[in-house]
Order: sequence, then C-alpha cells, then structure tokens
Amino acid sequence: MERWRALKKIIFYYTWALKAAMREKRTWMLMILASYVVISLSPNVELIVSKAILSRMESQEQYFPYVFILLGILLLVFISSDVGNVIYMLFYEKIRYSISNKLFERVMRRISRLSMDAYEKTENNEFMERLVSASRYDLHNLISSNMSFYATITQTLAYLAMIISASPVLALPMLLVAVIPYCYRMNEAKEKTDLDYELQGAGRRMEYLGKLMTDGKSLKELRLYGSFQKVHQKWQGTYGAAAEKRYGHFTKWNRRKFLYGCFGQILDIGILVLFVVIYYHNKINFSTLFFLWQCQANLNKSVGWFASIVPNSYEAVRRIEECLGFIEGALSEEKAEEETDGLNELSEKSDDSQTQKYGKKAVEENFAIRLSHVGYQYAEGGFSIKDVSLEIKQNQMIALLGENGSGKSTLIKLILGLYPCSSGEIRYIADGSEQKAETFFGCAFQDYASYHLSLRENVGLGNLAAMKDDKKMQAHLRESNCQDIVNDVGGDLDATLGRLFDLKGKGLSGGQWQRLANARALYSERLALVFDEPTARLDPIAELEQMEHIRKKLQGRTVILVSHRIGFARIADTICYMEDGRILESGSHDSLMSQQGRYYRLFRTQAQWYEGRDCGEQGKIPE
Amino acid sequence: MRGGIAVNKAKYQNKLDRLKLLKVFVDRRTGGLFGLNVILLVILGVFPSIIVNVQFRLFGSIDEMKDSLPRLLGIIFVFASVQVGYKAVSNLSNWVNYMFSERLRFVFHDKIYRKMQAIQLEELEDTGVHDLLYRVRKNGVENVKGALAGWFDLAKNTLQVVSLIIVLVRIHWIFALLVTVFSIPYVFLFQKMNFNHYFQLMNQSTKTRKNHYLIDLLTKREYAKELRVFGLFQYFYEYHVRLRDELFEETYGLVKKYTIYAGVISIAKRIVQVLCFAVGIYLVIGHRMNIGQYAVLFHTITQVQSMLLNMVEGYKNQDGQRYHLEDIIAFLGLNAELETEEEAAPKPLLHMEHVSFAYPGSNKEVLKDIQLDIPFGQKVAIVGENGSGKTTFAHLLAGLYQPTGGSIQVEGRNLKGLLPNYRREVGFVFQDFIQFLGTVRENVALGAQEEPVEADVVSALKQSGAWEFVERLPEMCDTPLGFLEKDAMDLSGGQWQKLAIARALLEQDHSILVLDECAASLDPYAEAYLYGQFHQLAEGKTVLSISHRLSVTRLVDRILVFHKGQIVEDGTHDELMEMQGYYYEMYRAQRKIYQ
Repeated sequence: MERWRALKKIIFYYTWALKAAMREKRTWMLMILASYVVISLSPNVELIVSKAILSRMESQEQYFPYVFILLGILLLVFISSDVGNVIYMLFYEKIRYSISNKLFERVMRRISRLSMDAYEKTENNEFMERLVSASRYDLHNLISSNMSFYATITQTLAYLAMIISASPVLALPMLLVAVIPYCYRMNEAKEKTDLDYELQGAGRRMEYLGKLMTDGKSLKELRLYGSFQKVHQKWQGTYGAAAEKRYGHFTKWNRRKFLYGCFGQILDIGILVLFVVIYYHNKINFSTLFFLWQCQANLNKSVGWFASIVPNSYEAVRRIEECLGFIEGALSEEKAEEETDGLNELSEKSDDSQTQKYGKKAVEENFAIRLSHVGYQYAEGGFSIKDVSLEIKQNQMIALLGENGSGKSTLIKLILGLYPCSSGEIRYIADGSEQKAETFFGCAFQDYASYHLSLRENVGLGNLAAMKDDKKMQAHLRESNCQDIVNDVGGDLDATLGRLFDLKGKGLSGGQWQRLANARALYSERLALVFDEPTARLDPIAELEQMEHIRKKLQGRTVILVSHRIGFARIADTICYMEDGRILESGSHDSLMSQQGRYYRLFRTQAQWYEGRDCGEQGKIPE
Repeated sequence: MRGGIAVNKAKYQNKLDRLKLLKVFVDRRTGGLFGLNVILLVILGVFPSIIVNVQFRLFGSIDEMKDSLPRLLGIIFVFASVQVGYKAVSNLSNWVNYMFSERLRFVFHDKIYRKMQAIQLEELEDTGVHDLLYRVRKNGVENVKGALAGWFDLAKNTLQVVSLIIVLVRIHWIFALLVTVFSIPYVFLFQKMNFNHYFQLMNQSTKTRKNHYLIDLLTKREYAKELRVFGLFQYFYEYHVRLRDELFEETYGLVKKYTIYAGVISIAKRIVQVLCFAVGIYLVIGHRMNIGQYAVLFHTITQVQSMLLNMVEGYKNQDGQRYHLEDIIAFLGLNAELETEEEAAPKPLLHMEHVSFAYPGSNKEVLKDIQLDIPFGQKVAIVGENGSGKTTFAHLLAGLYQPTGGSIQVEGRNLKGLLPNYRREVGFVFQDFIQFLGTVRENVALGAQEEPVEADVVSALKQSGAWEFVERLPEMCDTPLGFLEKDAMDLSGGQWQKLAIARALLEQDHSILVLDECAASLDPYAEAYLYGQFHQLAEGKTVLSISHRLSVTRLVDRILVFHKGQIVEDGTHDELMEMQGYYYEMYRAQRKIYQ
C-alpha cells in the first residue's frame, strides 16, 4: 500500500502545482488547459473518425461526401491540436518559469536567515544542495509532468467511454490489460529515489576528489608527492561502489520490466483473440474489431505514458516536500529567529538610516557591545567558550590573542551574531537603544571571500550604498594600498577580477585578494569592524602599511583584531588573552607586559627571533 | 589562446571529429558492447516492419481465415512471438546500452584523470586551458555518451522508419513519397534551430556559470559569514534574478521562433497524413486494397509519422553533442610531460643557469635570468614582496615547472631529464596546501606514494606539532575532516597547516625541503615549536624557506631577496643588513613592532 500513498502524494503535489499556476495567471491557464484538452483528445478523435470511415467502407454505402467530411473533421482536429501545442509551449513555459522562481525565492530567503551553526553539519550541507536543486529544477519538471498527468487521465477516460459505447463488457478487461504491465513502476521509482538519496554523499565525494585531480593547485601537490594515484584509487573505489549499486537497481527492474512486459504482450494477444472470436460470432463488425484493437493499443500507450511520467515525479515530489517543510520550519540546530521578510532588505535600509542619522556624529555617541557570561558549546566536542564577560566601547581597538584552539575565532563569531550563545547574552547598544548584530559590523576574515566579480563590487560589497561612488572608492583604494590592483586593471573599476567566468578577468595573488578584503571592510561605515588575521598573506612592508592604515581609519569606530602577529596587537587599546575559552588577561600592552603573565610570554616568544642576532643562536621558549 | 576554442561556425562542420572520438573511446573495454549493440539495433530496426507485415496478413485475410482455424492460430502465434521477441530484444538492448554507457563513462573519467596525471603543470595556468578543462569536466561525459551511445537509438529509429517506409512503398509508392516529403522541411528546421541553439548556449555559457556562482554565493558555507555580516543577500539575489531573467528572455525568444515554425510544418504534415488516408480510400474503391489492409495502413501511417518525429528529435539532440567533441579532442591533445626512468643523485648540488620563466600564453617573465648555485645541505630563506617570483622559483627547483629559458642542473645533469623521479627527493609545504577531506591519516599519507607505516605518520605529526591535537580527536588518526562525511571535524587554519607540514615530513629521506609560508597560520607557540624542530627536520637536507615572517632568517645560512623576478640580494643576515637595501628595510619594518 506504500505505492498508493506515494501515488496520492504525487497527485497532491500535481494539484498544488496546478493551483499555483492558476493563481499565477488565470486566463492563460484556462487557455492552456483548453488547448491541452484538445491535444490530449486528438488521438481519440482520430480513432473515432477512422472507425466511422471503416464502417462506411464496410457497409459499402455512399462514400461521398460522408467520408470526405470525416476526413475534413479529422484535419480540423489535427490542426487545432497543433495550434494548441504551440499555445501550450509558449504560454506554459512562462508560467512554469514564474512559479519555480517564486519557490526559489522563498527558499533563498529562508536560507539567508539560517544561523551559521546550521552549516556545521554535513547533513545540512547535503540538504541545502537538494533544496537548491528542488527549487530550481524539480518544480519545473513537476509542472510539466502534471499537465501530462491530466492529459493521460483525460485520454484514458475518453477511451474507456468509447469502448463502453462499443461494447461495455470489454471495458474492464481492456483496462486491466493496459495497466498490468506497469504495476511495478511505482515501486521502481521509490527505490530509485531512495538510492539517489543514499548515493548523494558518494556523489559529493566523487565531485570533490574529481576536483582535486583536475585543479591546478591541488594537482601540483599530488604530482610532487606522487600521490595522485592514491586519490584516483579512492575515486575509483567510490565510483565503483556507487556504480555497482546502480547496476543492481537497474538489472533488478529491467528484469521485472521484461517479465511484466512479456506477460502484458501475451495478455494483449489474448484479448485480440477475444476480439476475433467475437467478430467471428458476428457480434461486431470489422470496423469495430479494428477499432477495439486500436483502442487497446492506444490505451496501452496512454497508460504507458502515465506510468513513465508519474512515478518519475516521485523524486521531485519528495524534494519539494522537503523544500516546503524547510521554508515553514527550521533545521534541527537552529534557534528560533524572528520572522522578518526580506531581512537584509530591512537591514540595508536601517544601515542607510544609521549612516544618515549617525554619520560622523554617531561615532561620538555612546555605543557598546556588552558580553555577559557568554558561553558556547559545539554539538560534538570542538571548541567552546566558557563564561566570557567583556565590554567593547566605541573608538577602541581590541586585540584577541591566544593559542590556536583558545576560542578566539568562536568568540568573534558569537560577537558577530553568526552563532547564538549557548548561555549568557550579548547586547549591542547604540545611541542608547538596542540594536541587532547584523547592522553593526564589517569584517575581514582569515578565509576572506574573493569575489570573481568586478573590482568595484569587491570593495563596494562592504557598503552597498556607496557602491556607485567612484571618487570615494578610488580614494579609498589608494589609501588602502590597493593602487597596484587598480593600475593592473587600467583604472577600470568595473573590470572583472578572477577568471571563473571571464577569460579576460584579472587573476590576483593571495596578497592582493587579502588587501581587497581589508579594503572592503574598511569601506563600510559600520560601527565595528572585525579583522581576523588581516595580514597573513602580506610581505613585511605591506603588512606594516596595512596595520597603520587600519589604525588610522579607526575614526571613532571600534576594531576587533584577531592575529598571531603579536607585534601588532600592541597598537590595540585593550589586549585580551584567551585560553581554553576564557579571557585570562586583559589590559594594554604595557600593563600586561609589566604583569609578566601569559601575554608577556606570548609576546616574548615571537619577539625573541628578532633580538640579538648572533649567528647560530637557536631560539628557546622563555620560561 | 592555446587550448581555448574560438566559437567559429564554419569550424564545426567537421564530421571527422566523431570518427576520431570513436577511435579514442571504443577500445577493448567498450568495443565488445559496442559491437553487440550494433547487431541488436539492426535487429530492432527491422522488427516494426515485420510486425506491420504480420498485421497486414492478419487483418487483410481475416475473413478468409474464418474457416481455416489452424491458419488463424498460426498467424496469431507468429504475431505473439514477434511481439514478445521484440520486447525481449528491446530489453536486451536496454541492458547492453546501459552497460555500454556505464563502461563509457568509466573510460571517459579514466582518460581524463590519466591525462591529468601526465599533463604539463604550466598548461593549467593558461586561462584557455582552465576553461577547456571546466567544460570537459562539466559536459564531457554526456557529450561522449551522446556522441556514441545516443547514436544507437538514432540508428535504430532510422532503420525502423526506413523499413516501414519500404512497407508503405510496397502498397503504393505514393504513400512513401507523401510521408517522406513533409519530413524534409522538418529536418532542415531542426538543423537550423539546433545550430542557433548551440551558439546561444555557448554565448550564454559565461552568464550561466556566473548564475551558478551567484547561487553558490547565496548558499555555500564559504560565503555564508560575509553574506550575513555585510548583509549581501539582497544584492546577490537581485543580481541572480537579473541574469536569470536575461537568460530566459534570450532562450525563450529562440523557443518562440521555432515553436511557431514547427507548428506550421506540423500542420503541413497533418495535411499530408489526411491526403494519405484519402488516397487509401481511393485504392479501396478501386479494389486494389481491402478494408483490412486499409485499416492497417491507417494505423501504420500514424505510427510512421510519430517515429519520424522521434528520429528527427533524436537527430537534433545528437547533433548538439558533436559541437562539444572538439573540446574533448583538444583536451586529450594537450602537452604531456616527458617521463624517464632516470633517478636523480641523492644530496645534489642545485645549479641554475640563466633560468627564466614565463607562464604559457603570457609574455611577461615571472623570473628573469637567475644564475645561482645551492650546495647540498644549505638552508636558504627566500624573501621579497608578493609577486616577486619566490613561489615560482621554488616550483622550478621542485621540478614542477620547467624553465622557459636556461636550465636547472642537478649534480650536473639537466633536471628536465630526471622527471618524474626527481620529485621524490622533494618535500614541499605549499602555500595553498590541500586540505584533504578525508581522515587525518589520509591527509598525511598524501605525502608519499605508498601507504605509510603508522609509526611514520605519528612521527611526522609529532614533528610538525600536530600530534598534540590529533591525539585528542575522537578517533585520532582515523577522524574524518571537513564536511563530506558524517561526524567529520572542522579544523582551524593552524591545525590544517600543521597537517600539511606533517605531510612534507612523512618521507624521511627527502634531499630538498621547501617551506612556502608554512607558519602563516601558526600561533607564536606553534611557530616557536616548529622553529625549535627546524634543526632536526632540516638535518641532511637542502631547505628553502619562503616566508614573510623574517624571524625565520635566524635559522638559515643564506638569504635570497627577490624583486620583480630577479634576485637582488644574496647573503647572510649580517651582510644584507650592512648593505642597507631591500632586506634591511623589510627587517627593520618588522623588528620595529616588537620593540
């Protein structure tokens, strides 16, 4: 009975799609439905006309003009069917496009509101892949299939009506003969869908390994170490296992298809014999015999068409169901967030109003970020933050330091509002009122994004309102030590960077991308900026310039700096030393150095390499 | 540009490409199935006409057979067996087709990856090649499958149509004429539409890829942080919608045009069909055909017309594939590395003789006239601003790229003649090292060709400082990393870097060790630990350390300063400080911040 449930589900979504289409453009849809009725009934009419012609010829009555009138009607029906087809193709295409886009938009908006910890699980990443596929392709396919569904139902019912008018008793047997060969289809489709879900992980793995083997950067490393073969073998292993499963599925159902099909053929012949026997008993005339035989053949075709389209929609339906469930509900890890439509639309507006309202003046107002007893635990071990309390004021530079694994990056993500706190709270206060984290920050991460779009966009994405302000942007680029990039593209802000889409795009080095990422953060007029290792890719002189530039550009904002380059931390107003999820020391460089505690030790560890350069002296970690 | 394909209409008329492709992909693995399928399709091709003949026999003489039951039973039996036989052969052909497709897909990937194993690495820096590779990876399998496997269906359809038309001819030539006549405009129409459709696709391909990129920006993990902090959702979404609508308008325009043409031609086809029926009636009146035969004719003509349609559609789909075949042939024709069995001498002296290097397709020399000796066992630091050629220099010494001018001598022998075995002497921590999404062990094991012993893996992890966190992972060396597997762990930048260093240290007997910004993500303690290990892991090796952190120069014997592709300073720390040149400026800038 599983297959009935599956069938019911499919029909439910077909209807849902039809209703969506009707809501979209009512008149068009009525026209389309009318055309489709004509298209679907055209074979039926053809059959009726052929029967009428044959019976005329059999009875040897006057042919003219009767037969030729019939042929005329046939031609008319054919032509209307063709015209209907054109109408259907042209109009339905647009409706299909429009509906899938609406679903896609809803999915995208929902994804944009996910908190970052949803991305931490593999299942979620796989799920999101399916979502994108669902909203882009599956609905599109579903909407095509549902028309075929209605068409074949119409056709089949018309055939049954025609058969009943000729010989009522034969209707049921003929229907059975048509249906029996396809009984297995629904189960086949379900198994295929299950298999596809199961193999999605393998597909991703193969995609990943394939990319490793064909990308210039990774290929170099594999070639050097001679480990290409290993990766290739892993790919082959995954491929082989998946191919075997698919082969198993294919042969199983191919065999069934064969058995059912042969059985169906025998039934077909059987019923033909039945027709012939009835004919020999003079119960029906020849035209009716032929008519019945053709009806059976056409019925078979109709049901066959139905059996190939509908079960194949099963996979699409499952994904769309997931899609709709996702839009309404939440992923397991996510904490409930308020419903805001077009969230970032709003935040952009409020950002603009902030700058308008605040502008230069704002940064003199009191704003602060207050962390009170903040804690965070990853689902499975990993890092955690334990009881951090901190006040970050305006016009301040804070450096977060500590060893790898001390929790710096996690704390940053909490402050940015990307993860919800497991305990405690973070408040963002500006101009005396509470704000949301989204509107507060600009950022430049260690794994900064390189946008293979225009130079303008790479910088302007930090401040959408000022994207078109050429003068401002050019000045900013000059100050942020990015003039070399500007010169490389001949001063054209709209030149494409990166070569993913434009072969003439300008490829940039890691250092150039990093400087752009920093420029992007600084271009924004947000109240607080977060820099996570902003100079990792830069040579010593560029590094110094960049840090001085960041300090200069403070202009009343707050900068939170995370870096292993301890020497730069000293320019911060407050240094927080983190260890094991807590802030253990906090203060200015001088005060912490005089304490001779952990920060002192950290600083000395890096500074020692630049001291007393006697040849051959090895560095030791000071006690 | 080399490897790139100029979209030139005239170029694509070459049908020989299909044959070339046939030669490449139909080998001992696929040949048998290919042959079998050809036989099957011939059989399948003539079946429908046999079936029609039996139908004619049955319905044409149905009244006569009323009295002769055995004859009737005979025909029914033949009819049944022909139908069942058709089903059986069809099914078998399905299976063979599937096997062939799968085998082909496997062979295709195999050929691609074997090519990647042998290709000259510099080629991949060429944007044309990069683009070609992308296209081949994305569409390649379907195109080859379409070009070869798809032809079976097409050939079968053609055979079926032709044999049915022969049947029609035997009734009266006029039917065959009428039926084929309408299809000629159809074929032309679809040819033209396909041509234009392909070029539209090619022209749209950049936009389409950009569209996918935008969707990635909106949904993928890598971009999620910045998207949320800067509030970029609306911007990218609207950008995507604009592109998508543009693409749709263009495609729709073409679809509209050809749907209407196709509709008009379809009407013509229908008129022909009805004409056939009329002629049939005329023949029946003239007693040239009986009613039974007329009935079958009526049925057959409809069948032939829809088969013809399928054939033309199939041809249209097939034809589209061949335009991509050039990509595959171009890809397979890319330069491969010359390989020898020669081994490099261990502990070699490296000598660069007027070495210069430019990437393929570019005139700009990234390295100019480098003349240098590096005795074995020397520890060298390589410094300079971004883009000065440091990394390229290291790649040349590792034997990854070949100089475009001059030569590199390894113990007096040209490096070019010592590949690929020379590379076994080299350990390299790359700046963009692979963060392998497998287990910890697999990550480290990438550093050797054979499977390493557990002890070696642990020892390498200890040396790089990674063991400290690895032994605390839930499954230690067997812990999966990244987001491919369930329960996989995500590592921080520093942790990944330690794994990459362990990878380079796995093989104990490298002669040369290259460290390209290997401490960039390490915190001060990890950095100090590594520097502390330096003496031990650099023992008995030539070491090249590229670094922006000049602290490393404390550990080395010699410093090379690169500027705009040339070595401008070469000496010890003290010598270069005295010179008060580039190095002096850089060192002072860095030291300043620690004082």
